[in-house]
Amino acid sequence: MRSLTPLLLLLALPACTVDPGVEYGSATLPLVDMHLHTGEWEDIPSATRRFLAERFPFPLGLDAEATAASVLTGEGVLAELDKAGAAEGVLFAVYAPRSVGITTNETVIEHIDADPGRLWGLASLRVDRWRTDRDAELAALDAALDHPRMIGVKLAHAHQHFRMDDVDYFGIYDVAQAHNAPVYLHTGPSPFPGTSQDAPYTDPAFLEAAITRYPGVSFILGHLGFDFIHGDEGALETCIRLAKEHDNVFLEPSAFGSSSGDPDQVHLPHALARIREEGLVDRVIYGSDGPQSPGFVNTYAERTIHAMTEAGYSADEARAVLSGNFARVFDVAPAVLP
Amino acid sequence: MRGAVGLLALLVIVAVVSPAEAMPRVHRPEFTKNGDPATFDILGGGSPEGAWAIELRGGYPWSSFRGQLGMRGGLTPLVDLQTALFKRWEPSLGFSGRIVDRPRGRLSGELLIGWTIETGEVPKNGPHAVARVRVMGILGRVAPWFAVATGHTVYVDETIRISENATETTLSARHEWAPVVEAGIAIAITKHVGIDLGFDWHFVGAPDRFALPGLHLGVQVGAGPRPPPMDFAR
Amino acid sequence: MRLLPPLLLLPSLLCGCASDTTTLFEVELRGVITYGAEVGPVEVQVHFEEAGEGELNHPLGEIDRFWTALDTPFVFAFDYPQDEGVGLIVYAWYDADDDGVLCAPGQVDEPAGLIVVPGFPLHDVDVDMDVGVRCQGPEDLLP
Repeated sequence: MRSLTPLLLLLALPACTVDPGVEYGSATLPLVDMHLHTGEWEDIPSATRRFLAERFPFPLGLDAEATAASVLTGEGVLAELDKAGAAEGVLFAVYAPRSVGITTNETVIEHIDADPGRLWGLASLRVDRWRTDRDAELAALDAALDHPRMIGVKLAHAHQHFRMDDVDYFGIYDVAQAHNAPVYLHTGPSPFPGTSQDAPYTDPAFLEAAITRYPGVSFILGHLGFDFIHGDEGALETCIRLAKEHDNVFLEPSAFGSSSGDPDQVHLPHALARIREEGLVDRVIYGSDGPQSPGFVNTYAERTIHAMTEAGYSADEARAVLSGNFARVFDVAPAVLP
Repeated sequence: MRGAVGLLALLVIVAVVSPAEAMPRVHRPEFTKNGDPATFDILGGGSPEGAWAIELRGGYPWSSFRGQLGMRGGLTPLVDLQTALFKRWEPSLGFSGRIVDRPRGRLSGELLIGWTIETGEVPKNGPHAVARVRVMGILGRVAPWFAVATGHTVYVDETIRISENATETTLSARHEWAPVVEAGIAIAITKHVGIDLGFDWHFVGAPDRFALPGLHLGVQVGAGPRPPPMDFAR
Repeated sequence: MRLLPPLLLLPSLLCGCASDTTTLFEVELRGVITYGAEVGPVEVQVHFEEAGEGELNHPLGEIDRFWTALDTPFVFAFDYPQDEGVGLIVYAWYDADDDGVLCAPGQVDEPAGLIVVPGFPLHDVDVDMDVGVRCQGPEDLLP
């Protein structure tokens, strides 16, 4: 039955593959999703597995492992990208044993091999025994970044439990700088069990010390500081301020514009409008935080396009958000339509 | 949901106002002259006295088995087993009865009590009760039907508190609501055998949790005092 | 319909079929947090010493937290979910500028401290802690 479930899901959901590219007004634009997850169900802590299973639409949570497996493999992610018309996607390694679990660099590289022409990866490292394992972890990160398609670093202070301003961990940025690798950082309170919700772990203002000390490292502020606990814009204005004051700060509006986080489609249009008002469109890099559940990657792209339309983005601005800024910041060839 | 209510209302009207002069109201002693197929008994609710019917339904995500036997006075005991992906099981016992019974349609109600067992990442078990209303329009061998149900399950959680002096166990309850909307087309192949194709939407965990709609194909079999021949021309 | 949930509860009570079982070990934490002779608000957090299985094993894991005052004896009762982790760590930091945040950017460098409770599980835990390490979260103060 487990093998049957993903097949039945495909029948039950509008799972059509669409042509590459997304429609924006009269233009067709290439799409790169810079925030995707992969991994194994058993590498997620039990409290978070329960949290996720109870939030899958019924009956997907009944066999949450099969549901997750259907979208979390390299092939599953590619299928979700196809549904969204996305040309490329970026898989995140995650080392957060206390909250969202572990997806190793090796797992990401393995899944990238499902289609090395379309998938990229961000490497990460364990920090929960930093005092004893620091050097080994930094060496492992360094080695992972040697892979030609591992193009950046993923950190989530709230999930990994280390302060954003703690200089003991700044060696991570040294490694990133040595590889010319942008660093993606989760910002804002997170709904997952086992998260550190305190400001030093979630408020992007605490990143300013590192942002200032490492002008050669690109800092991508994930979720724009959205407060997923209270469902409000959280530290959006702090993110905008940091981007205005520091050329090495970029903005990624993933997850909070989803149908559950933004049912009335207010937050994402507002955030993108504020960014445009401040002249920061060239700093926005699109990501969804998918695949989450079948169809999410596509839905999030549609909601982002709706939000950009509401916020008055031109086709060129939308192109920059959806793929152009990603190529520039990560120094890779721009995605093109076939 | 508004469409479902509209369909329900339409079927109720069809069932209740079918032309009485052309089709005299069915009285119990003459009921079997209606030649109701087993399929219609299962999906429209209730069985004539002494008649039995069973249904095996397969679909995504829900599959089920149901059996019922008509008793004197129109009361129809039934046994029901529903499962979602073989991970959530809902065995129940109950009874149904026809509230309105006309040649062109039928309105019935049923009450069931049983137990919910859910395996998987978040195991659950607890007693449930279901109240369901069925409406069926009868167009010869074909009968569109519609049903709405409200299901309630209570899960009991146990907390063991270990204090310095004693270990105490306390229980707390959680309520889960599962309204269900179902509709389909029943086709009586013979009076003993029929099929039904339909959709079902079980909103388990409503209103907080979204649910995917489902499809099903059912096969119904039955026998008992049903006088041949069936007059499908009516 | 309101009566239905209580009526449905009866069979479960009779058969003893619980959906979920949580085992809580009651702990009463007593002590004093000090920072020289200063007085002011202090936040105390209680953590597992370790939690998670296999690759997911990790130090820490917050159980509860509360506010008290420096140099003031406190008693804090909490439930320790004993199936979720082992050991007990008490972490505290002094909110010298009373902003609710440990070492906000540009603000006062506030002191913190951490103790691993020996011999846990215990129903009665006594902790006397002198905070003194600047701007460190519990993860930085692990022995």
